[in-house]
Amino acid sequence: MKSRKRNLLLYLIAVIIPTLAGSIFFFMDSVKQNDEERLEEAKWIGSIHQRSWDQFISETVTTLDMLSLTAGSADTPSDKLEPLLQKANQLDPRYGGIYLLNPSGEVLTGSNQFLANSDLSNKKYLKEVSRTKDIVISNSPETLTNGQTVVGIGKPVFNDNGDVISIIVAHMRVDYVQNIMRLLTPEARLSVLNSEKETIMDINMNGDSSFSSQNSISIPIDRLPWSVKVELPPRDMLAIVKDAFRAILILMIITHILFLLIKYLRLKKQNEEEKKENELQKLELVGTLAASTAHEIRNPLTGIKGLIQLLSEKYTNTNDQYYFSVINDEISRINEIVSEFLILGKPAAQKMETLDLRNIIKELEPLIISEANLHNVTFESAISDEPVMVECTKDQMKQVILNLTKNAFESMEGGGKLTIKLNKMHSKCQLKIADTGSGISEGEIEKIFHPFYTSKETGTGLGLVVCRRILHSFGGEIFITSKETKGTHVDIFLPAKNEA
Amino acid sequence: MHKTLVKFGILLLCLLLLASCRQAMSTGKLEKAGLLVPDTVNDQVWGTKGYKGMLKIQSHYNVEVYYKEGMNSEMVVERAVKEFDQKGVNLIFGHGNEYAAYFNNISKKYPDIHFVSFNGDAKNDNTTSLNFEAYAMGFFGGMVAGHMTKTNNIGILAAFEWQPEVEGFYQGVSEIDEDINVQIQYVGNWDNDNKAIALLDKMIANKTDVVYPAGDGYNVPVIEKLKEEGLYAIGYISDQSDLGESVVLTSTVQHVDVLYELVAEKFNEGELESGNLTFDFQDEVISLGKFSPDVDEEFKKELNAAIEKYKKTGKLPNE
Repeated sequence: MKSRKRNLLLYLIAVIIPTLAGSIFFFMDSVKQNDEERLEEAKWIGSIHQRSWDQFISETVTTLDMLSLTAGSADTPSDKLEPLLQKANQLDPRYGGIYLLNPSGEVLTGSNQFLANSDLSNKKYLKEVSRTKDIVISNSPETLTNGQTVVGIGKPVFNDNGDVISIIVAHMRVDYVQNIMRLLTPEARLSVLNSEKETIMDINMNGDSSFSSQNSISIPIDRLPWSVKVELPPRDMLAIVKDAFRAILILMIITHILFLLIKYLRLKKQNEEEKKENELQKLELVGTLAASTAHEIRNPLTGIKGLIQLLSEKYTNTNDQYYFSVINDEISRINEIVSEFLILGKPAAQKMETLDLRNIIKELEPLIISEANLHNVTFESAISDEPVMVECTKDQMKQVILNLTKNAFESMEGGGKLTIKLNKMHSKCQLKIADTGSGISEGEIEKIFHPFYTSKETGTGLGLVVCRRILHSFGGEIFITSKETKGTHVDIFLPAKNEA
Repeated sequence: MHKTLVKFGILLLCLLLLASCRQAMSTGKLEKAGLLVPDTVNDQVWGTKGYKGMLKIQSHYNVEVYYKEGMNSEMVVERAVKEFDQKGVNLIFGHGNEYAAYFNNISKKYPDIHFVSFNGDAKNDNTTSLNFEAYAMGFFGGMVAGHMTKTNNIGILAAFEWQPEVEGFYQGVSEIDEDINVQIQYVGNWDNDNKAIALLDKMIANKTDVVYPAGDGYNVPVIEKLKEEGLYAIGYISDQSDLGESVVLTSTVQHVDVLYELVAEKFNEGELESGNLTFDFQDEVISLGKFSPDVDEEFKKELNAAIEKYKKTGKLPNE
């Protein structure tokens, strides 16, 4: 249950939260991009229409300039101008008509008959033309009797003395331009506004003249105080979602991979821990098994030993004594093995004391030297001058050192050199036992600490296991390095205990 | 450790891929485009549609586009092409059938530019002509006219005799009722509105109540005149229902702008064929425009069914 919860928590942290955060980020980013695109598009649409209006107005102004020059220069009578006006009208289908007016606003002639004999004097823009003596465009469209909606632009005609002798008016067809705009950008919603922000024309607005300010942009027309206001095209939710979705999908895949990675690493660690525990348990099991077996064996052994003792006192024949001594030896050996078994089963329940290792070695020296002589081995010792205090059990420490020296001697069949070094380092003590014996091959060095592994014919395979057990219980470590035919070095590290 | 390093390397790669997804699109063959129109881009029909096509190309491919009006003779066209070439234009649209012949001559001097014209015969490797199969659209337009006429007199105001929509229109009218009188007049010019209005007046005097102005520059003035007289018109090239729902029964629409985009796309990918390419209803570049509310629903359904059948089988109702 707990692991399920843990799993869920991990999933939450590694997958859900980054995906949610990432999704929000990508979504916002996608919306922003879409907004930018919409703005660009609105600007583009606006600029198309702005440009076409600018061009139209420029061309009209130029045409009017030319016409007024012609009309003013030779003081031409109005009917002579009529064909010229017609030709000018033909230049562009967007003209409703071009007319010649007298200074008070009555229509003299024109390119068509729509306004024949009408009086335009009350038009605001014409009054401006008379007043300012300059070209003026009307600020609002007017609807003619033939149904066309036009915006008028008027230019005064001067004679050589600078008096206004007539006015030329061009009607620009707003409805026609509206249709063209609708053809060019059929989906756009836009208005053309005059300087008072009133609508001159619009497309797709259905008479609704409002847009929200954030949702529209305004582009001013150069030649006039008018502007083109375009509404931003609507958000393309589908495109936004699709865009964001792609990114989110990839993010999800990555976070899932991350999640699986983390799980895998944890699993590996878990595995290793389990393996170690298994090993420990195995050893414990072996130990307990060994100990109980040992006990079972000890009992009959004691019986046998005792009776053999009695028999040896009874039968004093040299041959018999020899037999008895052999039997005794063998019984002792069994006892030794059994004791070692017991140690495997019973981890250190003995009392630890702080002792000087130097003394322990000194006490063992006579034993070691005599053994060395027996084996034709020279012995050398290098002991540190300062006290080397460690927390240990005296007998067990002795057992370890003797075990190792025994191994050393057994490896030096034809003689050699045994060295014992003891020195104190900062927080540890190092005890080195080196020999120049037959060494241990690379393949076997891994196995030497395994229980029951031995290279000797008469070995138990438990010596090093026990040594390691003991040293671990003191908080120390043992390392063995060896080179075949050169020798073996055994390094023991024990935590140093400073003198109290 | 080595394994974890490899895994993080893969993760980094994925992140880089994600970042690179947002990169811009790759560029194609199209550098700049140019448009030549014989009269003006402001005629609301053919010229305006060409202009719209160029705008679409500009918006889609982010390239500069140029246009020139009044291109009505080979000399003028040649000068314009030279100017376009100097500007770096490599795709030129000649918006009209007169350009096919001009381009056949001019294109030899500009092998790096591709020339596109309409309804003509393109003979060189770097020229293409886009031909609308206008017969069918004329046919269906004729059917609508035939159905809606009350005086049984219909007029066609075409520019030239070779226009296939004229014959189609005539046949379409016959399909509804063979007894309807169809008066066909030729203006001899795509844009001469004075002449067109004069011919129209004659037709009106002859009791026609539906007219098909199959031209460019005179199209809108003719329809406006028909509106004044309270008569009907069949729109041409653009959907002209904006001119008046009670005037325009339907329009024979040619989606020239769509074709422009199609051609630009093919050119951009290096797949634009030279020679004559034909387009019809099936290619979605020809369709009938918005119907007037005066046209009854039942007829509309019949007509749409006939169009669908034509799209699928290529067979008109009279075949």
